[in-house]
Amino acid sequence: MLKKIPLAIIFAVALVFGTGGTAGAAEMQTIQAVPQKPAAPNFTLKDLNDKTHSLSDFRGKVVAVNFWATWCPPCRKELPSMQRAYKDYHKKGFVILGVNEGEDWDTIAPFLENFSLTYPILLDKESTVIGKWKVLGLPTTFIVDRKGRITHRINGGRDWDDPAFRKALEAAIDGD
Amino acid sequence: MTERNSHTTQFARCLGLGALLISILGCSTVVHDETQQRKILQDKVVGSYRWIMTAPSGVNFTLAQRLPDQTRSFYLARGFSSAAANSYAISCVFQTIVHNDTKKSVVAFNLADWRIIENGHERPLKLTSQWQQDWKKMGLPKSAQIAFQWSQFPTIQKHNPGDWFQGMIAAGLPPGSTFGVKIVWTQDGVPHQAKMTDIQCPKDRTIKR
Repeated sequence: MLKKIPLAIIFAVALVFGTGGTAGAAEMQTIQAVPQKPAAPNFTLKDLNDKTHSLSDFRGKVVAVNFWATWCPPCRKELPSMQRAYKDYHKKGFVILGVNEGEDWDTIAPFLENFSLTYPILLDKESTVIGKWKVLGLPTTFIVDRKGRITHRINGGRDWDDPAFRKALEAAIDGD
Repeated sequence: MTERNSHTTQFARCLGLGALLISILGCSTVVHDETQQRKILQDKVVGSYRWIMTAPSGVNFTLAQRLPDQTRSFYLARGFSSAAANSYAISCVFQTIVHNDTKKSVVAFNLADWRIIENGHERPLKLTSQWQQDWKKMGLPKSAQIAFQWSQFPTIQKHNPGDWFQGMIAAGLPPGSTFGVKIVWTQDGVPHQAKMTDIQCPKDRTIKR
C-alpha cells in the first residue's frame, strides 16, 4: 500500500509534521543547560553606589549574571520582568547581578529612574569582564549555581514572567 | 507595521550531502518557498521597511532598515565623531535579528560566510572587527568602540532553541541601493543557505515625527 503512495505526498506530509516547523510561533522562553557546568569566571566590579561586589561573594546562592546596556532594546524590555523574578525568588537564595557594558553612572542612573530595580547594577566600563564570559551579544544571562558553576545560558532577552520560563528558572534555582 | 507584500524567494539550498530524506527536505522546493513566509513590513512612524524570512525549520531572519539619521544620532550620542558616525550611517545599515525558533536544533553561523549580492556579484560583509580598525585609526574613544562592538550583530553566533540576538550590519552600499543577501547557517551541523532578494538600503532623509 505504501508503495502506491506517491513519494511527493510522503515528503509533503513529512514537511508538515516532521521538520519541527514553528513559523509564526510565539517566541519560546527557554533556558538552556550548559554541559559540564564550567566554573564561572570570578569578577570584582563597582555598583552605582561605588560599592564593590565580587561574584565569589555570592557563593551559596544562585546568581543570574545579566550582561546588558541601556541602549539595547531587548535588554531594556526584560528588566521589569527580571526584577519581578528577583523579588519572587530572592528568599530562595536567588540573586541577579546586572553587568552593564561600557556605560558610566551619568548614563545608567538616569535611565534606571524609569525602573525600580533592587538588584545590584555593576559597571563593566572597559568590557574586561564580558570578554572572560564568552558573551556573543547582548543581552546574555548566565545562571551560576550555589557552587559557582555556570549551569545555564540565555542568549537574547526573555519574558521572565512567562510560566514556562519561571518553571525552568525554579528548576535551576532548586537544582543540585 | 503594515504588511506590504508577501511572496516567495529562493530558499534552503542544502549544501551537505546527507541522507536522501534530509537532502530532499533541505533543498529548494516549491513547498519550502511557500512556507518561507517572506514578509515586508513598514514602520508607520518613520516609514522604514523590514524584511522577514522564516525558514521551514523555524529559523527567523529579519533585516530592518535603519535610517541614516537614526544610526548617526545613535553613535554621535556614544562618542563617535561626526565623520565616523556619518561614514557608518550611510553605509546601508540594517538592524538584523535571528531567532532560533526550532524545537530542537542548534543554529550557528558566521557573518564571514554571508554575502552581499549586487548586480550579480557577491562580496563579503565588512565585519565588526574591520570597522573597529577604522575607528581606532580615527582615534575614537574606547567607550565609543565598546558601544559599537556590542551594538553590532555578533559575527559568530550559536543559538539553542529560543535563543536570539539582534544588532546592526552594514551592506556597504549607497543609500537607496537594492541588493540581495546570501545567508548561510548550520542546523545541528547541517549547512543551509538562503537568499533574501530585493532588499533596499534606507534613503538618507530626515525623520519626520
